[in-house]
Formats: sequence, structure tokens, C-alpha cells
Amino acid sequence: MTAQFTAEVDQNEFLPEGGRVVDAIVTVTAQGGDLRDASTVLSAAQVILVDTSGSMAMPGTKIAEAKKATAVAIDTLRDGVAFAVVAGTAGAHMIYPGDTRMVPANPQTRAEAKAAVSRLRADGGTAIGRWLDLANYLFAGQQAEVKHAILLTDGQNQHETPTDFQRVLDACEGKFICDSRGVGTDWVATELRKVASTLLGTADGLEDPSELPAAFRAMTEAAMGKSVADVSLRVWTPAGSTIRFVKQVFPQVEDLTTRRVEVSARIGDYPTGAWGAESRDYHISVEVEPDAVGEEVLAARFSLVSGGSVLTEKLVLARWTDDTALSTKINPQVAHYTGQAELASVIQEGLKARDEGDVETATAKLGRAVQLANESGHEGTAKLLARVVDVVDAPTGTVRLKRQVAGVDAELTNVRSTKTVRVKKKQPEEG
Amino acid sequence: MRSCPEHGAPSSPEHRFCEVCGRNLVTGETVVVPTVSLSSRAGLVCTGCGESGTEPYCDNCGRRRSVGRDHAELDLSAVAAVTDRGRRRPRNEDAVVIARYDGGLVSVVCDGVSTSTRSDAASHGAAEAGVAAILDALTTGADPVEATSLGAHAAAKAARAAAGPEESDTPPSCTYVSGIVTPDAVTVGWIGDSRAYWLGPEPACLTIDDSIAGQLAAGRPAPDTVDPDPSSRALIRWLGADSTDAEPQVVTLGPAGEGRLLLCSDGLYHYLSDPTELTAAATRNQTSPIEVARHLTAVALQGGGHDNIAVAVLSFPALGGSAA
Ligand SMILES: [Zn+2]
Ligand SMILES: [Zn+2]
Repeated sequence: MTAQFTAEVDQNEFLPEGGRVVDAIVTVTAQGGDLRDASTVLSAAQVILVDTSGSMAMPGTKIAEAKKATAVAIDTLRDGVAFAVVAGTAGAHMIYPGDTRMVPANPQTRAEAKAAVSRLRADGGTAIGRWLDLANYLFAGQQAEVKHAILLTDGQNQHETPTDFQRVLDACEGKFICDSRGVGTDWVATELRKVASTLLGTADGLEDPSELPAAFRAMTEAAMGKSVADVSLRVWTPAGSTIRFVKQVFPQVEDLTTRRVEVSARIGDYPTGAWGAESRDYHISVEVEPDAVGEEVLAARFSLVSGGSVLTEKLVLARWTDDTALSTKINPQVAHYTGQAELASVIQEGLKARDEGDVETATAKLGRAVQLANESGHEGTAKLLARVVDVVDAPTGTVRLKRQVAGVDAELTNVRSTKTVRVKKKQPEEG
Repeated sequence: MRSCPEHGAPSSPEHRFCEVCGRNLVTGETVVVPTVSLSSRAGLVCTGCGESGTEPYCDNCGRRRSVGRDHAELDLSAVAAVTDRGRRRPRNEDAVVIARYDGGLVSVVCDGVSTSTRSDAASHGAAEAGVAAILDALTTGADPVEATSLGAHAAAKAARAAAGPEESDTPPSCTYVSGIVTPDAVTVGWIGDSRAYWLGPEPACLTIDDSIAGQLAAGRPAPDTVDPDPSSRALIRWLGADSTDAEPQVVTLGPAGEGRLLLCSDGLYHYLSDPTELTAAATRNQTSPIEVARHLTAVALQGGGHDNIAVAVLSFPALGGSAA
């Protein structure tokens, strides 16, 4: 038994006469009682990239917790999963095994690896691209269906040029999945988001080094629980139409539009990585040629495919009507995720303006962010924003920039800006 | 000289088979009439762009594939039908199926209800299931009244099945009228406001519309509905996922002489509803059922063609064991 994929479409299919734009939210859920059963999960390989730059010793709890977390991740690996531990500085060094290869997890290799990790010392610079480059080399020798890296850093990517970093990311794209985490106060949210976005993983910052072991366990468990590899979103659209965008909108916003791989004139694939028992939402927006009132057109056929088989498929329709009560109805899901996507971008734009000293733009953007977070009940983001701005009135988005902001608060707000919440599906009836 | 005991001599003495019933004039062997039916269901070509396919939506232009043909002419000689999209509607949601079997003629007309989605799927599903069930019943010994009821039940089931899992508000729905012509009787059954007319001696409309206006006009008490407007032509019975109705009203007629049974949707009787006028229009210059069906369709189109049109014409009496 493999995972059961199901999908649901939320849209207002009714367009006014001459209307062209069709928006839909597709919720895809992979489930199955045996999804976590060892016999159905995919073969896996994992590389742990631990920042051992000198700053990891300031304070010493960072390197201590990072070692503990790495040990926990090693213990979470299933028997037989190929793994390696890499120490990252201005270069990348094999910690375990001693040479550039991966070894299968078993009681002996786990013990050896943990012993090697315990001897780690913090010393050196930060060049994340070099670490990823070594991970890519290690994975290239593996046949595993899920290739997963964990990247931990505490500082800015100082010891390589942005061009070199980008070149490595491009080389790694599609080769393995990478979850990245920042610890301490000096990591840079945009760098972590870039890694996560390109390598189809997650990015987050940890406020306290003591959260590291739990985070490493969760990332490793999620990777071990993947049961379908190389899943792509496949979108068919009719002749004469244009795809405005395809975005993942839950659990985080990720614009997939430019990642399209043409399958045929009508069909394109968008990579989504590997799936375990999980649920993701997508927002697709298509511009179609208007038809006569009363006519119905298939605006998009939306499916998930893996290895040539269709896991689930849904239709996005367009129907033209002269009934304005129907055509003007706003779909709550579409409205909600349009707001969540705007929330992510106004946070990023607001923080950027703030860094550049553009108080007016920063205040306007972050004010709008507070308003959107408030409207959508996104408490996590609302709380983070309150560390960066003083909220005068949330419903109108009236804010003042805080004079003193801890650097990490701005980075946390930034790295989590793409995290979305779902709309409460069914509002309880009044009375 | 070879000749058929029922139909006399062939047109040419060399013919070895009777042109009417197919009897072998040398051996005297009669032909078992094969059961044949024809439907107005469309082929595979998209009306939007011309690409062919079988998916419910065109794989090239995305338009919902029409279930029925914009214009269809079905001809089994003794029974024939024409359906047309008309001049106002974007699609033809009327469906018609005709059939002949060893013993008579069968037809069903269904009118897709235009306020519901994909009602052409309901109308074609219902018309085809209805005719199939009627033929099955008649050829296994059921009488026409029983067969009529079985046909409507099968049609109701098919119309319900036309609804997709996500269509709750206005699922596909349609009307239903069936006609069976045997050597001695005409049997009609209906749910909704598509009609059956007897065109011949003592012409008559055989059906009573399932609308408030239809019931009142027939001298029946006003049905108990939410909106008791006596002039309302809104359907009070139909087939579809939002209906539990499946029991047709049934009328049997033993005509005094030769004539035709006409089944039609409101796309025709909106323009021509008087039985005598219909009989006159049907017998003026037209000899064969297909010509009658074509002519009546043309009348509706010339009148304005505000709705889809479906017309089926069945010859009475149906000749036993005859293909004619
Ligand atoms: Zn004969
Ligand atoms: Zn087409």
C-alpha cells in the first residue's frame, strides 16, 4: 500500500460576462494508516551540516546544543539509512565517516558518529555554499529515494561571494532536499529562505539553542517518514490561456510559477519534493479566453504525479453567468490565501525598507502586515511583528517602528514571513 | 411469381427478398428483426475547436464537451427523430432515442432542464437507459404498460447518476416521455412536460404536463407546491439527483386507424400545440416519419427556435415482425 492522495478544490467558478481570471485553491492531502510503516517508506540518505564557525562557541551553549542535536538526529535515523556528518566553516570537513562517503546507520556507526561529533570544536568562518557542495557530492554516490540534508548555521554567509553561493544552489537544485535552521543572533533569514526555497525544504530560526535537539529530531523524522519521492504538481491549461501563477500557499508560501518544466504545449510540471503524511495547499490563477454566458470551460486540470503515475487529480472550472450574485461571490479560501501571500511579501519588503532606513515605506508595509495578520488570525506572525513595531491599532494597520529591535527578532519575523495559517473551514452557524 | 404473403410481389421479379419485411421469397423464411436503436448522443469531436477525444472536457480548448449533437437526424424508417439546438441556446440539451424490435417501435424524448448544469448528460443518460430498459422488458415478455414503468425507473436512475459528487444545488435534470407502438396499441409514459400526441383519426394530446398550469388545464386539482401560481409552467416533476420521482403516468390508446405517435419537447409545442394543427402539419406533404420530424423541427425553428427541439415520429400500426 502506498500513500493515498486526495485533493479538494475551492473556487468560485462563476465569471461575469467577459471575465477571464480563474482562481482556485487546491488542498492536497497524503494519508494512509501505513504511511509510517517501515515497509512502505522510501529508502533515505541524510547529511547533517553543522556550523562549527568560531561564533558557535559564543556562547558555548550553541555548540554544545548543536552536538546534542546532531546526536539526536543520528539516533533518529532508521537502520540502513546512509548518513554523514559534515562540519561547516569557511570550508567543509567530514566529521563522520572520516572520508568523503556515506555509511549505513547501525548501532556501531551511530556510536562512532556520536563519538566523532562530541569531539567537534568551534573554530573558523562561514561559507554555506561549500557545505552544500560537499553534501551534493556525498549524495551523488547514493541511490536513496529521499536525500535529505539538515543545515545549521549561526552566522552570516561571509566567506564566499553571493555568486558562488548561487552557483552551488543551482547545482544542488533537484538533487536533494534541505531544511535549514538558524541559531543564535547573527544568521540571515534571506539566506536560509533561499536555501529552503531552492532545495524544497523548510527554514526557521531557533530562539534558544536548547530547542535544537527537538528540531533535529523533527526534521529527521519527517524525512524518514517520506513515502512518495519526486512528486510534481502537473497543471493542464486550455489552448489560448495563460497561467498567471502557481503557488504553494500552505504550510508556507512558495511561488512555483517559474519552476515550470514543460511536459507538452498544454501541460507543465512543478516540483514539490517528497511527501509523507501531510497536507499542502496550492493557489493557481489562470487567465482564459471568455466564452458565452452559460458556457463552461475547464480552466485547469490539476494533478499530482510521481514516476509517471497520477496520484490525484482535480478540475478547476470556469462558467460564465449574467447572475451577478454568483459571479461577484468571493471565495473565502482564495481571499484568505491572497492575503497570506501579500502578508509574506509586505513583511519582507517592510523589513528591507527598514534596514535601508526608509521609515515611511517600512511603516506602511509593516502596518499592512499587522492588519493582514490580524484579519487572518495569524497569531504567530502578529506576535513577531509586535517585536519589530509598536501596534497602535491592528484593524487599521496603524503602527510605529520600534527604535530598539534585537537583530534576531527582525530575522525571525523575516524567516517566518512565509509561514501561513489555514482559514477555519466551517464557521459555526449563528443562533 | 415470388411474392410475400403479407406485402405482395416485390418491385422487380428478380428480387429474392421482400423489400418491406425482408422475408426470403424463395424459402418463405421470415427474418428475425434485429433490435436496433439510435441516439442523438454526439461523437467525439469538440464543438469548440474540432479536436476529438472522450474526456468530459476537451483536452485542447477545455470546453465542456456537448453530450448531444447540435443537430441530429435519426432514421429507422418506421420510426424517426430530429433534434436541433434551436436559435437561442448555446447547446442542445434535448435527447432523443429511437428503436425498433421484433414487435414494434420505441422512442424516448428527454428535455434537459436548462437551469441545471450538464443537463444534457442527464437527458441522454435517461433517454438511452429508458429505451434499453423498455426493449429489454418487451423482448422478455413484459406488456407495454409494465415496460413503460420499467423504462422510467431505469431513466430516473440514469439521470440521478449524471450528477457529479460535487453538484448539490442544481444537479443535472430532465423531463421524460416514452412511446411504444405495437401492431394494436400506442402506450406512452411521462414525467415532466415533454409531450406525446396522437396524430391521426381523432388527434389528441395524450400527456398532461407536470406543471401547475398543465394540471389545472386537465381539470385536476392544483398540486400542493410552494408557489401556487395557477399560470406557472414550472415543472413539478422531473428526473435527476434532486428528484425521487420515477413512476411515470401511463396512457394506452387503441387507435381506430393508421396514424403517428409524436413525442416532442416544448421546443416544438411552444410553436405548435394543437393536435389537429399538428396532424395537418404532419400529413400535408410528408410521407415518411423522418420527413414529418424534419418538417415539424423546421416549423419550430421558423417560429423562433427559442429552445432546443426534439421530435420523434412513430408509425402506427407497427407491423408485427416487420422492419417497416
Ligand atoms: Zn413482406
Ligand atoms: Zn475543443
